[in-house]
Amino acid sequence: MIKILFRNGFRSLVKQIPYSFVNILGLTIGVASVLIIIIWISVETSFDKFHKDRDQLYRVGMIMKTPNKEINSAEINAPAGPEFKKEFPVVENMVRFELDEQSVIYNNKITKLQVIYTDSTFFDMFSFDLVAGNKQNCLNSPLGIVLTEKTVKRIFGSEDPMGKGILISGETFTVTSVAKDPPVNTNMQFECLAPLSVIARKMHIGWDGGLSCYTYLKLVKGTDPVALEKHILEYMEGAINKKYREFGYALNPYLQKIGDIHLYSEAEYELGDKGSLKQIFVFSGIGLLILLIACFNFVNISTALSFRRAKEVSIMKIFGSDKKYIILFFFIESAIAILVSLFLAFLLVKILLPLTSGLIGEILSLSALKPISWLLIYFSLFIFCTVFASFYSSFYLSSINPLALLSSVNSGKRKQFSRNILVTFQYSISIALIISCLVIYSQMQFVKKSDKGFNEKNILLVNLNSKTAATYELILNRFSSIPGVTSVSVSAGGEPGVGFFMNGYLPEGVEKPMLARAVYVDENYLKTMEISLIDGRDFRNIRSDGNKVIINQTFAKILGWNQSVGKSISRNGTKYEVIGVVKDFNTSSLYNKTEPIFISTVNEVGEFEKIVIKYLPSNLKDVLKSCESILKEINPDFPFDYEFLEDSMSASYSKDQKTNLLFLVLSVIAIFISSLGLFGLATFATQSRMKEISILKINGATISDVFRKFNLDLLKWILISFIIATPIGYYSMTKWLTSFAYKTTISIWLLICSCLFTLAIGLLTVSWAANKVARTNPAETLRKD
Amino acid sequence: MIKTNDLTKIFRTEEVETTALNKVTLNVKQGEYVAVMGPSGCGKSTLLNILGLLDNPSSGSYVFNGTEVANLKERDRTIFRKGNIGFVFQSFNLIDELNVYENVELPLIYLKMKTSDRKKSVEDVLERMKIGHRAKHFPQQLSGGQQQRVAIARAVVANPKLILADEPTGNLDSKNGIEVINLLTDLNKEGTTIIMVTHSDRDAGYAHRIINLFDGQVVTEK
Repeated sequence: MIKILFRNGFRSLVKQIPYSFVNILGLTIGVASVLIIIIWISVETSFDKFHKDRDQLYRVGMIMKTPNKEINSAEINAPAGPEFKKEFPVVENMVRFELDEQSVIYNNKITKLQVIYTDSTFFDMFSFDLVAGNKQNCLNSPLGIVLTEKTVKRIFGSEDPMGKGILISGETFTVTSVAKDPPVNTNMQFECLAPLSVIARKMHIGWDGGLSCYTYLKLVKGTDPVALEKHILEYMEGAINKKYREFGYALNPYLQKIGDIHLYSEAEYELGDKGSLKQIFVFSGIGLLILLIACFNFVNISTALSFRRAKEVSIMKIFGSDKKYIILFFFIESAIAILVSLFLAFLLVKILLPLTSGLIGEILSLSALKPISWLLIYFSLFIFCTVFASFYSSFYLSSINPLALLSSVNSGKRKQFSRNILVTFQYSISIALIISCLVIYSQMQFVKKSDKGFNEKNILLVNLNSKTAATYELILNRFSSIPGVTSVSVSAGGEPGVGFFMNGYLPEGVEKPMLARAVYVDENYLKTMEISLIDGRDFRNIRSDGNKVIINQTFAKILGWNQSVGKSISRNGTKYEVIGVVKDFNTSSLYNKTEPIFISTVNEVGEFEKIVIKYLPSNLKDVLKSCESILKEINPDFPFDYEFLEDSMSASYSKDQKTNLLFLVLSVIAIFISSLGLFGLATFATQSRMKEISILKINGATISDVFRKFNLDLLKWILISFIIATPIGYYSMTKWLTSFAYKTTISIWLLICSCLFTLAIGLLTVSWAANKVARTNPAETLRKD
Repeated sequence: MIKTNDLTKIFRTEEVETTALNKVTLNVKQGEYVAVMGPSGCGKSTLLNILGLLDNPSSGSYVFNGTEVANLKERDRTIFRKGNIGFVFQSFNLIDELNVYENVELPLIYLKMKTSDRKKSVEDVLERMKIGHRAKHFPQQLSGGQQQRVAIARAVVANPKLILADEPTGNLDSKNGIEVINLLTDLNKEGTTIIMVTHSDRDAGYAHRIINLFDGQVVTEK
């Protein structure tokens, strides 16, 4: 019986090939999208869950309370790890690390690497594998480093790296081990591991500032992390906070399970790109909607075709088939199409995964899911799609009297209404998605075009190292004479639109010190960055203005200063006189509000970090060439290391841009599948009404009258979709925009455009389907009929 | 074999009530060949549908082989129909997606007959209907007469006690029509009870008895 049902089902699919094609194509694309989303979700939810001791590994984050703000940091002061290990016996082990990008030199070849400076316990805590060397002692030597396989290939090619020396920040390190490349699902994406002592010896270590590290604890099995967290807070209260509280400060460490960090961490200064639970929900939702849209196509087309199948079903019933067989008949017919779709979807995913990985900037692979997971997913998709797609037609047709099915009166019109409901639902989803895409695009444009309070265009940032920083004045001098360079400055502490250093300050008239951003510059900085001075004066000279400061409007506003010039702000006992106030500029990305900033010429970082060059775009090539040759002349051992401010700023939005792009692609897929379904239905509807159209044409209807007849009906349903989708799209995008401190507004035109766009797609689809019928000779149709 | 008493069928729509059968009482004996005649809309097909358990009467009694079947549910009617009643339609009603063999095989599949037995039965009946050489052909590839022979083959393949034929020659030319009537006559001679709705006096002439219907009532029986 089953064999016969399969045979018949297969034949039906072949016989109705245009509709089968629409169904299979829609479902293939839908399932492929869902599979890619599942793979992405499985990667996102598996971050750092591969460590053997994952249930015992916790990261120590810290909530720092200051008089004017509370900071949730992923890093904690360097003493935390060793002190907690010493104080609490339940802490079995600990590791600290700090990530930094470094230029590495080997055989005069420069390579930029992500270096993790870490304690020697790194491999005791985390399950990263070595391909050469020994986990026990690879980080014991003060100048021993571990490189990953890919890094070895980049630096050494086919040479054996073990024991070889490479230059990092002027010191020679020896390769002691080679590690396997870290898997994609870890935030610890290192290319090189070096001892923490390398940076620790250059920085202050203490609870009062200096080196902060990502600190992980391994707890004794069965330890209650909540109880330990409580003990840590008690310890901090006694040892640190009692004293700090006087100044309005408190350091409150907290524990976070290693597997929860990627998706659940709300801390700033995270290691790598943070995941987002919200995004996972959003994309799961879109995946489900796409699958539903594809299944709705199936349901719509199957029910539309059902009257054609009515004769077949009634004959089967008359000759003894009971309800069960009819249901099974449709179930198997759908199952065949769905199996074909599932198979094609797998091939499509295989082809599209590299492309998708490039699109979203994450490496996705089929192996992200275990074989058993694939089986389960495929089984679930198969059952879901088959039941969903065949349910309506099988139960509808199997429950109807065979005589009613045989009657020519039954033309499926009764089901037209429910089909229109499904089409309306599909179009509601499409319009809501189009609204979302347009709002996202408009916000991205807003980010690009909004007045940031400075001009990031044509700004070249040349990175300095310890040697070039020492001769920065000479470099400034030489750079300023390059043709095409309009202004040159120097800075340390960060860049506008990207982020700045943070310090505690005690302004005049304030009792407790407050946190503010800080940047250290020379007298040309404001001019180079085109930051407007609204009160007072600019720096005249880096030395003579050593005890002077320029603040921004926000700083003055927080302090309630109407007249800021002449007031003072103290830092580490030094009093700085406010000589000017600048118009607010974005201290970091547009996600965050402008923060108070302290602009001074006294460089607390030690060395200037970047030369800031404003150039004429037409001279860029020459400017770069000249800068490189000047730096090579001054320090031939170091590479010409530069970036553009615009690029650094867009990096803040890069993950968002990639996610938005994925959203856009998925929306286009949803709209495409909806249109595919509509095309199938429209083709069916026009062909079923050929006689009616022929009579209309004989009585004087033109081709455009026929088009109008079909399209007017569609117009009604699209307008209903618009009414349903607009509030949904508007509400969800208003919520999305709340994550930006500076945001665009959703205009009525944007909503109208979404509707018009959907309408255009709908009209085009229906007109295309109606075209052939409208142009057919009416006499021919009536003769056949 | 068939006994109906005051069989009535009323079709109701929101506005109109139509009495298709009005207290029809008739008896058909096992092995009889009965023709039902009458003008269009007199209730012939309605009567045939009720006798074939494709529909229930609005009132009255219908006893088939000693069992009251007038008010059976759809599921029970299907079970009762299976193997007991074969149908032949004016428009053949073959399934276009199935070939001749598969169309004829259909009733046997629902009777859950073994594949080998099914094969034998189908081949036998196709030979009897002289259509064996067309077993692999699809309905669209056959002439009207051939299609009706396939439909008859399908109706008789499960050896039903009763064959209901609704204007079986209505869509055929006279030559093919006579062939079909001959086939039905032969089946009747072999013991199958046949009730045939027809407009044709010639076709009705082959029956043992002719029942004339008018406005849903039996007006004459010859």
